[in-house]
Amino acid sequence: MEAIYYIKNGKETTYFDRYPVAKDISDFDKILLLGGALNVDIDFIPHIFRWLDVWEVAVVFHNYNFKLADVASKRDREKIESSIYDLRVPLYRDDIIFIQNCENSKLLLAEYEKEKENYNSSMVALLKAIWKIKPLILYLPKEILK
Amino acid sequence: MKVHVVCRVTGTRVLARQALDLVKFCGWSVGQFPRDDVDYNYAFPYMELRQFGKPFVALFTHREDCVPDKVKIWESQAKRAILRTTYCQKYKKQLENYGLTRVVTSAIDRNKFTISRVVSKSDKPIVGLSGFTYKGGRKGENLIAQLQKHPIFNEFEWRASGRGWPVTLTSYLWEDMQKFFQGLDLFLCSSLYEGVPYPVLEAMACGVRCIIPRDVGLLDELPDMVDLIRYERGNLESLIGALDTTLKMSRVVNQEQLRAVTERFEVANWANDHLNAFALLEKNKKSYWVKKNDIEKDCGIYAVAYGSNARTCARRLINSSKKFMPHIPIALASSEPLGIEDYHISCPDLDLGGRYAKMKVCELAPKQWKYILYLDADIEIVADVSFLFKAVRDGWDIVATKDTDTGGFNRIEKLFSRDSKERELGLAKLGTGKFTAIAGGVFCFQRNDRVKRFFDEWVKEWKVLGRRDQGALLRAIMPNPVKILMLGNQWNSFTRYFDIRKTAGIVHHQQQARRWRGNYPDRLDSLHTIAQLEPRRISDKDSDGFFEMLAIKTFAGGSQLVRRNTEFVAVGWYAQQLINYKIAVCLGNKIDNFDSEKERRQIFTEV
Repeated sequence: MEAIYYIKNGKETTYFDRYPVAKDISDFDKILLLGGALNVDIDFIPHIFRWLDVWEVAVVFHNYNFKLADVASKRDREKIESSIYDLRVPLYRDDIIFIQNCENSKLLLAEYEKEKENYNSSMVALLKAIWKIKPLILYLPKEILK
Repeated sequence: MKVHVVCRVTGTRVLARQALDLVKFCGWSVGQFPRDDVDYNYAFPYMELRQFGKPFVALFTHREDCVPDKVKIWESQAKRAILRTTYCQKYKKQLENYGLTRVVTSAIDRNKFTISRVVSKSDKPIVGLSGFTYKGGRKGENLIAQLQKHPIFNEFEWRASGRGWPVTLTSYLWEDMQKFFQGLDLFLCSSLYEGVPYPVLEAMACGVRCIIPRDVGLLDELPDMVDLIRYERGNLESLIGALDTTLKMSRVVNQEQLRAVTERFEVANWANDHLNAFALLEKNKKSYWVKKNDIEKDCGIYAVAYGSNARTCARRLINSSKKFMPHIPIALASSEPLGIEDYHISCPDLDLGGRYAKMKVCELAPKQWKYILYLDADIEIVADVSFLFKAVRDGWDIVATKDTDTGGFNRIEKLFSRDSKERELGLAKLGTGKFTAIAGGVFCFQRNDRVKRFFDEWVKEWKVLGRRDQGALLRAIMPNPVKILMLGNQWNSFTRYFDIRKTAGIVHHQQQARRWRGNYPDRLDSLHTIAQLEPRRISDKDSDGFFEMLAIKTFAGGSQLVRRNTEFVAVGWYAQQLINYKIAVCLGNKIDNFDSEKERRQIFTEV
């Protein structure tokens, strides 16, 4: 089963008739985690859900030129460089994440929550979590958001 | 290697156009003044950089013996330059006395200068003169003035473009210059001193019969042919004899033959000759190379280079990589060793783009390498990019980059829009064309079962069409997921689309390594290029006998040639042009042997 899950504090302003709203992500096989009001390319979503049969996570590029170096504070840079090595790695949106209900996705979300406490930018936290868990991850073009 | 061309880029004069071609095709910079932050400043021509205190390279266009002051400068600059370039063998022989000298092939725009179908309306043959005359008289305008007094002068109708000719002058903008040549029956070059000269090549490209002087520029290097009539430079009697010869000749000219001679004077050769010449300077810099014991054992760079363009580019790639990452060994898959790679990978030259050897990287790269960085041959490394190795060592299966977002290339649907077969296969597998297009020119990976499965599938998918590999890549990776880290174009910086100042170190001079000139109707593959395809390639087969077909299908980068029963036929929008150019002769296959005009039209329509 596929569903939409509205991330805490995200307003339920983007509705999809086709998918139910999940109260608990563990109740569904594939979930779109959504925060904020986003104008998503609805026709694309079924294709992404389909490929979540084999991929564990799908994230969306932020602005294509937007990278770690652009958001990391001086203090954060040292911490990041010790694990990610280079700050010219792109950032991915954290308000639209597709996940398969699997062990790696759960680990990723747990790590993401943990990292959010360490960094001011939640996108940096997401990247740190992705880097640590290294799930089977698909990268979607930013044009998914109209 | 950073090169700065010191040239006054004003107007449409030939040196300005040539300098801009170097900027476009070699990724160099151009400006009126030298730069300190480059490896080489290039005096363009040798008259520049006379006060420059550092080593430089210079282009020696022509030696103007009738102007002693210029000869002094020529000699002085020839002594000072660390590398001399020139247009013709005549000057090369002179300049070699000063040291390293290379001929660079002059380029004309053969798409602009084409054979015209305009029929002459004049009873007399129309003769053209072209160029700007100078104080020293090197264009031979005095010879024309003497000729005016001879009766033969009135046997012709005279036209001239440029400045200073003693006949009726017409001004042509550069945009319209081809019209001047296309309206002539005969072009006369009266020059005494030239580097090339270009008007002769342009007239020949337009299929115009030429009268040319001996011992001027590269004219002696042109083959003897009926429609190239020679005379002794500056000699009135000899010129009159040549003009008289043309009067006795038929006015029907073998235009195709004249034009074919200009085939090699293309911008790709101009750029390649420069890259090769400057690479000689780089070769002498041995300091980048490190002791064998210091070279990394479990990782390396893998590149593929088939054809002269790709091999030239590969030289630049290897030299640049050794400069910034001297400890990383490099393997090159090519027809023969280049001599500067650490490992030569022997793989048959099976397809036009060397894609088979690329996709087989997981099998072909040295066995001891666990971590491998594949780079297209037309990449130049401008900084240490060992981060890519760190990422795969850290646990990522593959580190890749997205394609450029300029023009929508970052989604695979862009490829689909240009290739209906790719679209058909892509949609059947992916369901949509909206997925991110992964660039195939830069990827780093570690060898493991997951990655091997993906590469095997990539080759399999590519063989379906044997065209570009990007669609096949996505069709292969989607059902065979890997732990992939997707980077932006800082790590694959296309010179056409990306602000190179922001690169992380991988500058991609895309298309420089290609063996064809382009896949656009008006940029037809040249005979010269086709001739580079060795006949044996047609019969090369891999284990499943696929390549006999593939070598043909990938010709010209698409499906322009396909097998029909036992023959190969040309299809597509430039099939007719292929036939015009008698490509069949080169390939030894019948591509123009259609059963009927109707069938030919049908094939064109289908495509």
